[in-house]
Amino acid sequence: MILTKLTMNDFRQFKGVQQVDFASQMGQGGKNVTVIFGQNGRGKTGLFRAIVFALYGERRLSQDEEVEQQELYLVNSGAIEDKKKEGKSVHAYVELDFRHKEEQFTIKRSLLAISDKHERLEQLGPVTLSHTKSDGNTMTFNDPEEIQRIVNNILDKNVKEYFLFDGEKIQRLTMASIEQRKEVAKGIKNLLNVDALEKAIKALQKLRKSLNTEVGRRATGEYKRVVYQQNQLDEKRNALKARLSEIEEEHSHLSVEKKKTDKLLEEYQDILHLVKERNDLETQLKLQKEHAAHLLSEMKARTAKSSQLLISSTIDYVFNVIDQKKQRGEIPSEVRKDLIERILDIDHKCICERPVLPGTPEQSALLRWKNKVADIELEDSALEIWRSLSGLRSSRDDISGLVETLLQGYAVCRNDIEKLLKKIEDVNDQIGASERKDTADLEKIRKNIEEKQIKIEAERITIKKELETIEADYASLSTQRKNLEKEENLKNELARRASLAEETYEAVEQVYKEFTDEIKDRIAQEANKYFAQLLDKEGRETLKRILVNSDYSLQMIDWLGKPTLANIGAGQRQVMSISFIAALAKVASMDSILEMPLFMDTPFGRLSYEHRKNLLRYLPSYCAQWILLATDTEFRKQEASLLRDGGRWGKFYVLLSKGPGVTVIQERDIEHAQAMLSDAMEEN
Amino acid sequence: MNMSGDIRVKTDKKYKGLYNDLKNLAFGDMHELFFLCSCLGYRAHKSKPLGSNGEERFWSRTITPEEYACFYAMVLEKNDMNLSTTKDDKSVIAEMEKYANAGMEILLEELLNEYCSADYKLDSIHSKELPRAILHYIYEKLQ
Repeated sequence: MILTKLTMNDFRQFKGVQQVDFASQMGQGGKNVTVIFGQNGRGKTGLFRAIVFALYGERRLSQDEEVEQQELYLVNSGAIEDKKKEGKSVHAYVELDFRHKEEQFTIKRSLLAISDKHERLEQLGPVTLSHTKSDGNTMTFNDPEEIQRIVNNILDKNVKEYFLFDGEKIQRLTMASIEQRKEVAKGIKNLLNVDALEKAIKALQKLRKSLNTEVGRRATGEYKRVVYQQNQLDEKRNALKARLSEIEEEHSHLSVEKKKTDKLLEEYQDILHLVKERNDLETQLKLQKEHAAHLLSEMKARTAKSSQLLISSTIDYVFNVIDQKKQRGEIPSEVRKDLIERILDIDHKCICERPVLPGTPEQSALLRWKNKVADIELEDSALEIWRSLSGLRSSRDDISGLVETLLQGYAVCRNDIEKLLKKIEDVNDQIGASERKDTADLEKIRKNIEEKQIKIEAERITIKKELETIEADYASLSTQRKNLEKEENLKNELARRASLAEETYEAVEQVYKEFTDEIKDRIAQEANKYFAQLLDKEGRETLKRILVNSDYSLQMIDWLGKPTLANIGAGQRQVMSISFIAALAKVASMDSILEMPLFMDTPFGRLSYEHRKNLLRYLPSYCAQWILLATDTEFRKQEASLLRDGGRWGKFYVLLSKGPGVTVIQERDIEHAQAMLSDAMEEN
Repeated sequence: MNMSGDIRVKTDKKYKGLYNDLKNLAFGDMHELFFLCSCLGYRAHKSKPLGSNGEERFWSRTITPEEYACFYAMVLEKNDMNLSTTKDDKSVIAEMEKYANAGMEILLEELLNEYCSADYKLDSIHSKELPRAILHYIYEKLQ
């Protein structure tokens, strides 16, 4: 999707018909950057709102969550007042022209608004989408659901915030809740076209189940028992998986409830500081718990290596004995045992032709020698063992040092966790002891929520463990079943189909796992490349890499290898999110540039100058189209000059105030932007 | 001494659940737990034949070369450095199975009993800290 034109009529501050033509040249060096410049309150977010409204019919943005529904108006108030005098309603609309895969689209959504003395009413009007194909034929759609389906196929609603976002939202991508992460993962899978594979897995699961039920019904004896047990396990596994996703939903619901309770508690001024202190302590606790989990996984990875320390004396003893034999030249022996055996048993003469006969001193000497030397194979083995033991001996100090460090680190971490828990308990007591009954009640509700969270977390761990056992038992039953089929020649047509469905399911699932793992790794790899380019010097010194989790949520790893997302600043979060989006676009487009706009509403507010400089320098080449809505404080002479030097800046608009609640969009020449920016604060 | 990968390593069948649980909670794989138990059994000079209770648990191909080297070292020390005792990997593994069987009893008695029930089922919540407990247990034994 490349945006070409936005037309608005009486939408938000934009009274009358106003339009923006976006720079949309694709390809190397094409002009693909549009800057829309305006002071706060001039309607930049109104433009952002217009795009989201046109594409998805959404009246509210994520940043509107605090605003009451009835307070949010989309139709221009001035236009309503004008029509009110005539007793008429206002027909506002937003029309967005875009192209996708060389085909043209125009979507138009209308709004109807009317006002009388008492109230103001707004309602959604019709929506139309016209689609002009590459052969010139145009189709028009009026069904809102059909239109939504077409738009979702072009830019999935679940990932729209990856391409159309405001400065605050972009950093929130790194702080998504479980619920949001699920939606985002769904959208990303759609973007990467892996949803088709998921559908195939589900269909195979159904087929497998029905064939196995049929096989179980017709089978007899031991085979029937195995198939029956497999079916039982399969059902149990499905039930547990369903419960697991219910738990995730419950978890997300409880987190929302907890936040709501905190918000209500914050309204009581006398305990506001305590609520804030508790939030800080809980954040610290979460970090410490993450650190503890990291240390535990480090320890888990070292239990096996540490076990060898238990037999250090044995390792030393065996190593020394072989080593001494080596020193003495007994291993490898000077004369091979097979040569002595040949002289004694076959040739009966030495290599110098001297006879070696039974009872002679020559034979006795050779027999003594034979008993001293070992087989070639055994000698080689001894040398191999010597080498391995030597390696174990030299790494011993490192292992025991690391074990000690890990144990000490964990003890400190546990101690910190205990201290934080104690502090939280104290704050809880103070909040609960508040004289106001309503705060004490809210505190009780919060405590109940926390208890429920602990309970479902415990259930989640138990289910995961149970699922692992089921998987292992299922695999062992599958082997038993295959053996029985072989032994008893049970492969009738139905069993053959069931086993084919089973094998296909396993193969497709494996393909899916490998494919998604690879995609995830590639996204992480690309994101890290962008991140290294965009990050400022200070960031490069402290942050090491971005980690993409299996649900496509992000984590940041610092130079010590520790997760540090919770500690990084808002600017770094923004750079991290932008790197991830650019990587996602690159992987989704199979290494070229994804035909998708990056629409950013005031993204520079939290960024350092170096970050801004890097973004302005590199971003136009990362994406197919960049639309930047910027304020006077974030887009100054320096920024404009950097962008112009890059050669991809195509359009420049200024939002000007024309009286209360009215903004006019004016196009300006890029060449004169700098001069204008210098006195941009004075609007005419 | 080929570090054979095609041997099915056995443990007592009553430890099936425990091997599965510990594999997930405290070890990367079953061979790692088996290795710890073998070392514990050998260190305490205790070995216990599996008899008819033996049940195949994992493939020897998962055993690392370092673990195999330790198995050979234990067999060599026990058999007065007779190199021929390391010739047959099956008998080396069989020897280790006996040590691991006794080692598991030691591990249960000295550490795991407080984490699991009489039928060897681990309490998954309580066992979250098991990697630390095991590492600490090994560390204490060395002091």
